[in-house]
Amino acid sequence: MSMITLSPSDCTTIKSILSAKGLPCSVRIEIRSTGCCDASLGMAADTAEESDLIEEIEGLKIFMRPPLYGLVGEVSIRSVDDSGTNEFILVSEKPWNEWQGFAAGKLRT
Amino acid sequence: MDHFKLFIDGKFVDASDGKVFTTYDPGNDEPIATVAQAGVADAEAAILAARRSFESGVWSRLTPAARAQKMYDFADQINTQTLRLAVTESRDAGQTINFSKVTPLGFGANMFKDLANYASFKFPWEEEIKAQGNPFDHGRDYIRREPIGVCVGIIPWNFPMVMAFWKIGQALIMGNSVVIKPASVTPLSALIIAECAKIVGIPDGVVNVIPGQGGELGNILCTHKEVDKISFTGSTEVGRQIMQMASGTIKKVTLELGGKSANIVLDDADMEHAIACSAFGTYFHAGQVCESGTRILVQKKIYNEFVDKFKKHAEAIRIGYQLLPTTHMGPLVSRQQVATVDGYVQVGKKEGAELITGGKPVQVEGIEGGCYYAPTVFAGVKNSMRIAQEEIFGPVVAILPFESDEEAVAIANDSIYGLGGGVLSSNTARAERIARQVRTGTMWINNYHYFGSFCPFGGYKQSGVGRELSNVGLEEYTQVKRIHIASFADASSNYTMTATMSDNKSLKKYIINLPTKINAGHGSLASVAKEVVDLGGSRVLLMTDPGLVQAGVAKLVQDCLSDFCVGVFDNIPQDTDLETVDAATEMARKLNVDCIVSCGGGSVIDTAKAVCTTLKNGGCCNDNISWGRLTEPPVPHIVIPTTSGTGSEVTWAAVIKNKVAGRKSYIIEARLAPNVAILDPRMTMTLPPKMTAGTAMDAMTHAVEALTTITTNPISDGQALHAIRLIKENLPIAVKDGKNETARLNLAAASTMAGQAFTISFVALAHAMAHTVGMLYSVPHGYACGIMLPKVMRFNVDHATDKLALVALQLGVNTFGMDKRLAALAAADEIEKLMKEVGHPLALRDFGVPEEGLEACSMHAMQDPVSLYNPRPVASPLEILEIYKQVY
Ligand SMILES: NC(=O)c1ccc[n+]([C@@H]2O[C@H](COP(=O)([O-])OP(=O)(O)OC[C@H]3O[C@@H](n4cnc5c(N)ncnc54)[C@H](O)[C@@H]3O)[C@@H](O)[C@H]2O)c1
Repeated sequence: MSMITLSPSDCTTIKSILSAKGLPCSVRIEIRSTGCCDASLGMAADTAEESDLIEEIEGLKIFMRPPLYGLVGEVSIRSVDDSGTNEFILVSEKPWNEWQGFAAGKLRT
Repeated sequence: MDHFKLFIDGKFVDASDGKVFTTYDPGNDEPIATVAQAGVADAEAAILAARRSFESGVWSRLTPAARAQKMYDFADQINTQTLRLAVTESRDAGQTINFSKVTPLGFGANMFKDLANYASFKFPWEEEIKAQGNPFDHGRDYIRREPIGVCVGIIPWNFPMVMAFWKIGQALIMGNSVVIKPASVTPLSALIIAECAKIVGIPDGVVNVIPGQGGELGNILCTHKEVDKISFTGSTEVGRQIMQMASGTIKKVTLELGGKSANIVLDDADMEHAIACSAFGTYFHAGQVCESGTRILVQKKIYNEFVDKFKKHAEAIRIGYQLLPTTHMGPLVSRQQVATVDGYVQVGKKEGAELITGGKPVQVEGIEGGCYYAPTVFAGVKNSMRIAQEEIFGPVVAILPFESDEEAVAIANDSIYGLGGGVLSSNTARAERIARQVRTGTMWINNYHYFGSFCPFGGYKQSGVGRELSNVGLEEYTQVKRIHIASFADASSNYTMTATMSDNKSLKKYIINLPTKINAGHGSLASVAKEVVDLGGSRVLLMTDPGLVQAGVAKLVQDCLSDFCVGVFDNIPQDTDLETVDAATEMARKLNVDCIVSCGGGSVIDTAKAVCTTLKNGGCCNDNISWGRLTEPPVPHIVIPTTSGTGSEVTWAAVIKNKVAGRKSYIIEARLAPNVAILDPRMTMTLPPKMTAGTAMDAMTHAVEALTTITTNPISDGQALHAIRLIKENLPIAVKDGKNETARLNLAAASTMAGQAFTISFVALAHAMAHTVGMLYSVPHGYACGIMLPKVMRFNVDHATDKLALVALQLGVNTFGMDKRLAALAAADEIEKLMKEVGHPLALRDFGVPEEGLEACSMHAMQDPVSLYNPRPVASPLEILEIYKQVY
């Protein structure tokens, strides 16, 4: 069963953001706080470590730490990049907080 | 286990789809209660109930005082339920009981009473606008503040009870209805507060509380057309989305979001206090406080000592179950929050910060489970690190060294946030200097986490928009309405309407406000001391100019003033300027003057007028160039005119040169009219013949223009016409025989009447053109007016025919059998004849104006505001240029 759901076009969006900045084609799923109370799931350009759970979609490596996977389960990634803001909404099988799916976050590079 | 229901339209109800969720104690993971989980249908019902209650007026249309009485009851009910609220809050949100037991009184009941009382006694619900700042039109204007309508309050999980108090309290006090969505992990205290509202009889629908998932309810709460305002406290990511969604229906939004506040410890701080205060600033409520001072900036000189002591202090913090009164720090709110905090600790280590204590979850003895985390300290942190830039929202502090105060400010400001912050120092002035420079919503000096009902709270930058609490926070819950009542129910009440949409540009309304008392006649100068007394003065500054000192005129006045005169300012040039007014004001301030007596022509009188208003209103003359702004009378002013021309002794105007701008500036204020004018003919007898002619032609121009502007009226017409007759009959006599007292007094009366006439009806193009050459080429004002007048009369002949024909009559022209137009033109001819007779100059070239300068003059004159009042609309500078050429 796959850990990540990501459409081919959204995958292309992520890859083009990374390549525009000369970064390797790999992103980490992380917990990120944007202030006051609820932290949320986000993506960051990174290189995988040995212990990470890794999934590769069309040449894009997506990974997370096993404990995080244990807490959130499968993650679907959707781009809301219609205004060129490089923003994505991440929704997990086990919601990280009550606002899941409401707001988008930037791909941290 | 208790079950809590939604509170909608005054009733506790289950969710329409029957959904229920459980809420847990983060101190031991035990379930506390089941709670109805609102869905979209419930949110819709709550919004509509709030709307109905708002529109019905059961709450929104109560007087603030009546609402306050209910809020006091509400507050008392909260006090009654203190223990239940405190224990529930502690169990639900993990707050230590030592804090939660003071919350209902300190942050709820007391705040309700404070702000409700303020709203009923002090809040400016209605404010008269005394000066509208519209130079052209009149009316009454006032501001009304009204409730906004339906306010949504979205509450975070760190201080669910305090936030519910804030959002319900402020909204209700200001007459709104609310829909509150508490955080899903901490829904209980808001529902108990709803119970309190019901018990005290807050009308149905005014308070609604709907716990539910933000992801599901956020959309409807932020986009529903019946919602007028959203007040959100929570993450920046969600806040940003709320702001975007609210923009669809342009809702008012206040956001209180994240922070990464800097607590600055200066090298002169009391070390023990600095340690305790910084630890409290960070570890209070396990760091789950948005304005926490999670970046401690420590001056290098004391850095090592501080870090050592702070580590020990952090390690001594007693972690425990939140209901035990011995506990210093309770649990985090949830497992997710523990994982978030721990994730950041790993990031900090990876970034190279030095973890000196903590950095791991903690198990509390005797408790199974629970979400506890050790007080954590990172030293050697760089401000660029993620642990110094991102809000961790847990008991994790980053300590950063700095060298100078400037560097501390720079580091503090190097953040996307600006919510709180502090300075610890034994030098308050130094601490305040720093506090003023940090771009943040609150700075505490030698303190932290200190709140009060009357202290505004909110953020700079990405920490939010708007403020909570205080008068500022209450304002956020109101709309501002301006109500204007025209003073004249007529089109002429609106200059713009007449100027733009009507072919007849004349304004039919008129206001006569000529408050100056006039003492006239031989020897009237003697009345000056009594007038000073009547005006309550005892320290008079006499203002005059060098010519009048030389002519011995100023001395006469000084003698009459006797001991009242505490100083003489005589350094006033012809066509006064800002600098002169400032110098005179400075002298008046030094002498503690309470009355001004001016003795001179227009230049002196205008300087004195400007000094009077500047003395009263503060600042320098340039601060007091105003047109209809004054709401209080300036310092008392008595005028003794020595030329018979400007009429400034009774007018509302002062004309002051602004050399930098290259223009004459006008102060035009009804309150600028002097209190008393003393027309003693002896004061004008020393005026040389040529100047007598020149200043009288200024008065003549006032009279003719006042008679013909777009704002003429029968009363000022009467004054103007009689002034014209008096000038025509007396000027030649006074020029021939300066000592002829009857002629002098009649000219003085004419000048005053012409001044009154133009105060009511304004002046027009001849003045605009005269001001211009006065400003640019120093042509004396009276001569400039006289030179322009006949040509401008001819320019206006088809737009003011009747009035100009009347002028001809006053000038003694035999108009019998003449058509009106010819009579009007004859008036212009007659004025030129008079000017020749009295030796008045007729051409601009006589004053050294260069011909090539006329084009620029025409542009300048076109922009002079008085040209707007000309009877013939001035369409282009070319028309003015043509007139300038005629008078060249
Ligand atoms: N505020 C108003 O309503 C208003 C109206 C028209 C003009 N003004 C302004 O007034 C100024 C012109 O005033 P003004 O025409 O009265 O001239 P002025 O005040 O500039 O005086 C001109 C000269 O005449 C001398 N003088 C005045 N009275 C004298 C006397 N009795 N004996 C001997 N010398 C005497 C003065 O010493 C001065 O040197 C201009 O700046 C003009 O813009 C103001």
